[in-house]
Amino acid sequence: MTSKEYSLNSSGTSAIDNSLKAPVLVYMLSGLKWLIFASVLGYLASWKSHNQEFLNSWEFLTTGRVQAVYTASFVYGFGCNLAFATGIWLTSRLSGVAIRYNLVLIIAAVFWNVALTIGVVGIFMGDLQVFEYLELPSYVGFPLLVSSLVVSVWGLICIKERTQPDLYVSQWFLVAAFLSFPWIQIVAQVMLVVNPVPGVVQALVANWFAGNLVWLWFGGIAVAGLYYLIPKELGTALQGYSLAKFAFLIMVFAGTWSGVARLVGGPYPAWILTAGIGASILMLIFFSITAINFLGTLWQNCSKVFDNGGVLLFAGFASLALLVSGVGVALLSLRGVAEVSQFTILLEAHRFLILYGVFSMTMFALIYHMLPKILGRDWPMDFLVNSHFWIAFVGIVLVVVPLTVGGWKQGSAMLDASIPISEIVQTTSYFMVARSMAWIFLTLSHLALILNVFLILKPDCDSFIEELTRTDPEPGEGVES
Amino acid sequence: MKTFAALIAIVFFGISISWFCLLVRGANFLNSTELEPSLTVSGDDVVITGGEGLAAQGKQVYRELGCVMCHTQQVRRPGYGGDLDRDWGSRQSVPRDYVLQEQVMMGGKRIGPDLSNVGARHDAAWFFAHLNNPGSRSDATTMPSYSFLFSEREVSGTSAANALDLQGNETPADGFEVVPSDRAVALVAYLQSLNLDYDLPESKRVK
Repeated sequence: MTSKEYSLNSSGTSAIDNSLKAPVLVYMLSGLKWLIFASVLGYLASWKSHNQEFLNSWEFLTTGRVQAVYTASFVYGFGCNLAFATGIWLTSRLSGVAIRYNLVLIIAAVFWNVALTIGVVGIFMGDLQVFEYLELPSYVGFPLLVSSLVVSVWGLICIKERTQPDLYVSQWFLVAAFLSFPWIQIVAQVMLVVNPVPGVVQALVANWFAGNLVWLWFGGIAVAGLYYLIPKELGTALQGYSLAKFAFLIMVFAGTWSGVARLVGGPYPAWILTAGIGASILMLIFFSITAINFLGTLWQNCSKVFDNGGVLLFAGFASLALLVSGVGVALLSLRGVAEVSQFTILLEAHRFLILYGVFSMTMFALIYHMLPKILGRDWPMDFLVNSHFWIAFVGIVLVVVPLTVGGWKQGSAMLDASIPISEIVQTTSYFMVARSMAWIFLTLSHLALILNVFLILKPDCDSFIEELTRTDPEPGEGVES
Repeated sequence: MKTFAALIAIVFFGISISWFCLLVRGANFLNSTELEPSLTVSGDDVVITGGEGLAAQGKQVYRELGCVMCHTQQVRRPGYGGDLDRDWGSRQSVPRDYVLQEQVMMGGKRIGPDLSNVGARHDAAWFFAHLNNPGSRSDATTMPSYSFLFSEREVSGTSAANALDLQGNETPADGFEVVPSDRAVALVAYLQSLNLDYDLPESKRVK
């Protein structure tokens, strides 16, 4: 368990990268397609939250459904596809194993995306479910589970067959992510669909699922990515690397409990809520250690981060967002704070910071890092990488800051019964206007990424099309001039 | 290979413990006989239902429209949050209130008010008018209109009992009326059924 993640031999990696090309590209491009869709829906959902007349004549575009489609397409479309793509790449790369049976992974990708498309159409038709991150219709739960199971089993086998005996910290988090995702999907399927638990236990299951989805699955993949990227890009060992094992243990033993802290004050047994709060506070150890590892290392190489830009900017922002959202996890779980923040848009700001600021920014860093390695060429429009970062930065700030301030105002006003609810609704909606502006920035930043991805893939596409359209008068004879 | 097996075991163990303690134990606790849905409280018989008939159909409309994205159905305890002060209920919600519900609509965001007791606050006519055009019944609201649940039709004979009483520029042309669809009727039946007007040993009404 030493920090030699960056010392894989180069002859080995190129064979690995070749074997990875097809499945990683399929997952990544599917994810980016969903990202565009989610950007449009995110903008629409945000706009509808302060302008209720906007596109409201059709039932399928009613506010509740648009919001559910946005969440489902962002989390399961963009988030999961990118987590699969980068998870596969990191696993294979770190284990030093070329990928085998990659057709299985591609079939799983098709299966996942077809099921998700059916699910999204289902939400538009009114088949949505009622819990956050579980909005998709129950009939797509099983196909999604099978696909993620295939990727997870493949990932775990790949780690088991690694060429070097040591396991890197990145691999620990990958194991946690690969093992937890199908597991929590099975729990959600069995306890909410196959044999539904009664009453408020459903909310317990859903919040347990959401907490684990956010921390073990998306968090696991993101942290694995950061443990890989930062030393690799800086060419230096991480600060306090030996502490990382404690971070991992906290994540596995406390992170899995933290989701239910959101239910504070609700009709649930008090000991469950207290356990959730305790776990959320324990998570501070995880966030402190990752801050020492990532931010400590980046701080010492500060000039490099800003000179090189690109991947390091994304990774640096994600590390900072991880620390800030971590402080948020502990603070928002406290009963006194939750009395104000519960049920407000402040919680949305917090989840956005985790899912976008930490997870998505790490995914972008990984895309910018891995695609040139897989394809063997540099980014055609290098300057767009930094533009992407700064535009996204503005977008994230425009979501998180107004929603945090607005959420706190909303929650404080709710406590004062002399302020009528209509006034609170009105004030809160002003803060949501900022979020709508933010989606314009975020969409622009996504377009910068996609333009670059399109251009870097173009030579491959061109040669592929050439191959398809080549007219060979006598097959098997001669080479085209 | 030992480390890999140990790693798998740690993660497996970690998730299992939290699953078992929080969900399995939690479910057992909440399923216990303590939460019988029919009981006698200070001489009165209380029977909690999971929503039946038209209200059950209306609950599905509530789910289909994603109402849960902006409305919760849980009243917090006295002294914690301003729920009771806002007259969102006369007592806090407790697990027993939900024990027979096949699908709970707890919700996680309060863009609009809590609806646990909304049935006690308004009558059917108000709900119909509000769903058709929220602005007509609430001062400032960001709730969208659900006018697609209503239709305008020619009056045949006498006007329908549940035709909307519309004012101003919303008034339909002479000889026409705006009536709720079956789904709107079901939805309103569900909203009217939301009313925690009974005492439980673990939660007595304070107002």
